[in-house]
Amino acid sequence: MTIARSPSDQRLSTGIPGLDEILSGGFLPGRAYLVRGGPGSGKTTLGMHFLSAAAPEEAPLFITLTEPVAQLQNNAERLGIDMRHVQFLDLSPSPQFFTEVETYDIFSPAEVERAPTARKITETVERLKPQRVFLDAMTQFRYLAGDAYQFRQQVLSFLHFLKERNTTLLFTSEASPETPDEDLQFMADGIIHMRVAAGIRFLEVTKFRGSNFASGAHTCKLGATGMQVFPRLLPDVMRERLSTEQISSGVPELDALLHGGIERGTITMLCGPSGVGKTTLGLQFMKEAAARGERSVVYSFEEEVDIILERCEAVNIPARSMTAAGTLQIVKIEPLQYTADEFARLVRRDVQEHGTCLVMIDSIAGYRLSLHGEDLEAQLYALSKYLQHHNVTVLLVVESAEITGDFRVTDAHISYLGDNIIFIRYLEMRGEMRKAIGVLKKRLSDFERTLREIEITSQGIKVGKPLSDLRGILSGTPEWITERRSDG
Amino acid sequence: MTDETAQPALILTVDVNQRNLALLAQVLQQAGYRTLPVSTITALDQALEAPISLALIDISGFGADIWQRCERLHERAIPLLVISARQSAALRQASAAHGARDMLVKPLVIRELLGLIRSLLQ
Repeated sequence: MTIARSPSDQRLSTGIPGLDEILSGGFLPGRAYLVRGGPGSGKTTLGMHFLSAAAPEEAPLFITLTEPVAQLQNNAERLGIDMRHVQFLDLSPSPQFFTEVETYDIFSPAEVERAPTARKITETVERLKPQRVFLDAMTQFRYLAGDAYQFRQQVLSFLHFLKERNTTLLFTSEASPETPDEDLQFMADGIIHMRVAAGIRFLEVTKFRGSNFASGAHTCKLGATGMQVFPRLLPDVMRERLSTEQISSGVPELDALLHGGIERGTITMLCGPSGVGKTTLGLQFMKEAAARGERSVVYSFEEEVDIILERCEAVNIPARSMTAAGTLQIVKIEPLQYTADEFARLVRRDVQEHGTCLVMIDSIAGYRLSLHGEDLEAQLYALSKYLQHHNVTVLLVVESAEITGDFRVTDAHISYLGDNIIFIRYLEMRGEMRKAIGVLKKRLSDFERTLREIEITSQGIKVGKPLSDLRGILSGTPEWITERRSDG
Repeated sequence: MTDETAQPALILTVDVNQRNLALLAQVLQQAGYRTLPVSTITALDQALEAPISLALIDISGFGADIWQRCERLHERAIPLLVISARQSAALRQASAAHGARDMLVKPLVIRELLGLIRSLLQ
């Protein structure tokens, strides 16, 4: 899709694809943007990406008031950010500053340094005519201003000076509760907040004049290739497709229980206690999908790929040949490697690139335990909705805490996610432990209200006739209605 | 600057800190004065005989022997301003007692300093 863009909607890439996505394409030229955050939050790295993304004729300029140039170049090199075409203006204190020669107290720094600093900056900007400037950190000018009013006037006039030259400015602020930077936030055309919480880096845009942006805290990573940003998936406002196409499980009795199967593009929760066969049930749907030539992906948070493959083979699901044919992929998600945003990006990319039709997340508890981030459930909701809008059928494996006893689907606050809820549970019948499968909810069609016995055998999943003469099916020990009559 | 002399007024600046001296010289020369910078008591003793119109003495880093030099400048009817790193009633009293017209506290505001010098030289 190509959109003819008016000159006023030209964008400057930030040098970080994820951030461009958040900013609907990038920065608007000729504007001033603020990056704020505590120490080590990645402000300078972001600026380096911004300058590195510039073409050499844009004459990108780095004005540093804190770190010396050599150190910055060294850091950029380590992050693999190419800064060779970037010009530097070094206004950081020289080592001599510490010695007697350079220090003074007769006048305030505001009186002594302001004029020469301003002159150096204007001279450099007029000489190089940069189209991109990164200034680190604007808050240093606070010490060169007599008072808050002077600081504000100086910053504003500096912003106007650059705006007149159609230069795009990115500037940082070393913000802390002791030195608030609200004044800078008012002056900037856009604000990017960086923060680190519980070991996770977050990036959030709260202001972006003249453009849309993706709100919310997005996670990011600082690694060997610099900064990566993972835009948070928000439940998009697409109209819901009410597909009536039903996906068969390949087991006639199970389809009968579901009055035909599960609808394409719905979210199905497979609930039950540990070891009851939830994953196998999900893979049964995938086996059937593979027969139609559709691709499925299992994101396993708990079990290793080999174990799942092995188990499938034992119950007549040809997972290995499905994998070989490309109709099945099992992805093991190692714990604490991903943030929820990153995981969502992984799933999305797979759907976009491979046209995946069925996705199983095994399990929600594993998802919650393995991923870093905030509002994990809200993000799972957003991901499921995204998949649904792309006509992907979602299977969520939900482990219930109790193995026996009174039935509960799951933590109540997550069950609203499911269009369909299928549960498998242990039953005690005539002193024997058996398993039963039932449907608790189905949004798009009716379903059987009774349970059926389910067995997982070497021939596959076997589902029996409706257990219609059983009562108390949601309690711990169901009873045969006939037996009860004979008792009474 | 007095109206009678063709030469700009010579201002004695005393400070142990060279950077302070350089900055004072820069500010004063920009305002049209000549400066005589000294940073030690020995140099100060030698400078006392020069045709000074006004003295700025930053007492930080000097001992009590600085007061005696202040008195000698006062005896020669040279207006002098004492500069101190901190506000202190005792220092203010000592400055006045040794002939200073006023005690200024660092950091100085350039415009105020120049205004004060101008009024003292009239």
